[in-house]
Amino acid sequence: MKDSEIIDLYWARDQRALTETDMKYGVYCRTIADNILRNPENAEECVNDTWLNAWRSMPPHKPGILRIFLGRITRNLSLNRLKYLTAEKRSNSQGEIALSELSECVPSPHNVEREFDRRELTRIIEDFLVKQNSIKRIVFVRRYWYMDPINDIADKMGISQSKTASILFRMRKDLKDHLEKEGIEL
Amino acid sequence: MNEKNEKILMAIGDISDSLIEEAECMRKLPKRKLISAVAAACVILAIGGLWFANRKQSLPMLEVSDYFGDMGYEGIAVYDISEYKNTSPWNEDIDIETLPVFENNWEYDDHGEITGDSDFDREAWKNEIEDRLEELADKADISILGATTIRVSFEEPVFIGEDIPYSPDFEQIQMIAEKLLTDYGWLLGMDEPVVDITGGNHNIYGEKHYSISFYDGAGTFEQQLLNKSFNSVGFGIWEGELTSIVFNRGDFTEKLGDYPIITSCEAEEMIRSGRYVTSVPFDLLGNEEIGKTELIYRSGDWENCFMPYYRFWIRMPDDFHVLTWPEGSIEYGAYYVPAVSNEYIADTDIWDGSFN
Repeated sequence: MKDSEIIDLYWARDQRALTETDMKYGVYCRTIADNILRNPENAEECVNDTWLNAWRSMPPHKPGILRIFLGRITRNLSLNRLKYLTAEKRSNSQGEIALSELSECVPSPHNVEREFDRRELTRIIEDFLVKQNSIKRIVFVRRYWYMDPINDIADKMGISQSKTASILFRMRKDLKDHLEKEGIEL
Repeated sequence: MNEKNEKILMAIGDISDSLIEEAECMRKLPKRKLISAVAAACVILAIGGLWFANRKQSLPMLEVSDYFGDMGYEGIAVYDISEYKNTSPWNEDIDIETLPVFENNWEYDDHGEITGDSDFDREAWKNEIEDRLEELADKADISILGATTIRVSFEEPVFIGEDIPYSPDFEQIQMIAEKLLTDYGWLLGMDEPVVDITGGNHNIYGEKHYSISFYDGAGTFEQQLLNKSFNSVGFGIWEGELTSIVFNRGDFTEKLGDYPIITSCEAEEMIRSGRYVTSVPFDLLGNEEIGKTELIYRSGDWENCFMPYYRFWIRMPDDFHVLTWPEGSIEYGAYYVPAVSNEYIADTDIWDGSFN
């Protein structure tokens, strides 16, 4: 079924929307949730919650790209659940590992001038990403948006794991410089 | 979770759809290049590079054309990209390994007259149309436009039906197309005519217009794509009257070969990295929103050769103002990437990236 038809089902409050969404984008969303949580039960709950959130937001929302709209919901729900799960104990999920990697991007306190809101921070990160070549950009987004494991990214990109890790290491360093240059305080 | 790391992670979560979509294109492209390089090296070393090397050598390199005619730039204004219609046999789920490319032996001389040494018999093509028109031919002026297009203009416009407005909406235009198919299907010369309604975008006065044509949907996907791009029949309608019929036919007399085709995902990656040609006076940054992707042949008489391209309709930034479109509308510009695999595209100053 086409995305526009699935969206129409949501707008018509037709519960087939949920079945069709699960059939078409279940694997996509489960992969994101599982990357972040590394726990099938928790991942499944987040995916089910994704459909519920989609049901609540359409209408009034009409997503431009349904797949990414759903992926965003799954990612946010999974990160929230990860936050809850790791409040007391550490896990070894890709979400947790990716999160610790990003500590390298946090600007030093003495270099900052003002506090930025999330939208502004997103804009600056996007500005950083569009200045990279496409390979670097894709590696970065796969790691920190989709939370793919490094070996998966390396395999799919046809480059070595060490090369992938090296690209990410340099990008985190460059992103930190970029954020400092923009005067970011987190 | 560390609060500062979390802020960055959540901010990354909000990056634009286009960046997330681009990252879906990672599948296989660089890996395939690597495999191709390794495979080619092994084959060449081991058995003298028989098949792979010969195949590549047997296909001529192709030059990308950056000329799009003298009609300004190619842009459309819509309130939503779904308003724009263009029927096509292609969609992103179709697997294509190769598509044919044809030499264009036609060119314009200094006086704007078409010349060339093609084996295409234009007079025979015109005679075929005259025969097909039967008694309608007596009421029409039949002329050859450009290289291979026949235009039939009616001296007295032919009445189609009552209550057809100046600017019909999509449903009305579909009904008109169906009526044309019923009344004139016999002169199309097609086994399975497909109604091809193109347009739906707004002009600077806010009016919406569509054009009606037909192409033969019989045969393989490749045949259908060639028919759509080259072998269509268009109907000129003006306030409920049929004023002209335009018969297009591709000149396929000199086939250069069947060329490997890249996926739309791979083409999108090229767009993002600045490898494209366009008539739009705006250089892409690489993160723009893609409204629609099409696989087409550029079929203008001025093309170097007739080869397939991916056409991306890309949303122009809000401060891009060359023309004044209706308030609230969104402008999309056409950007092209050759659909033929990069290894067969000649590195000219247009295509090595320096042009853009």
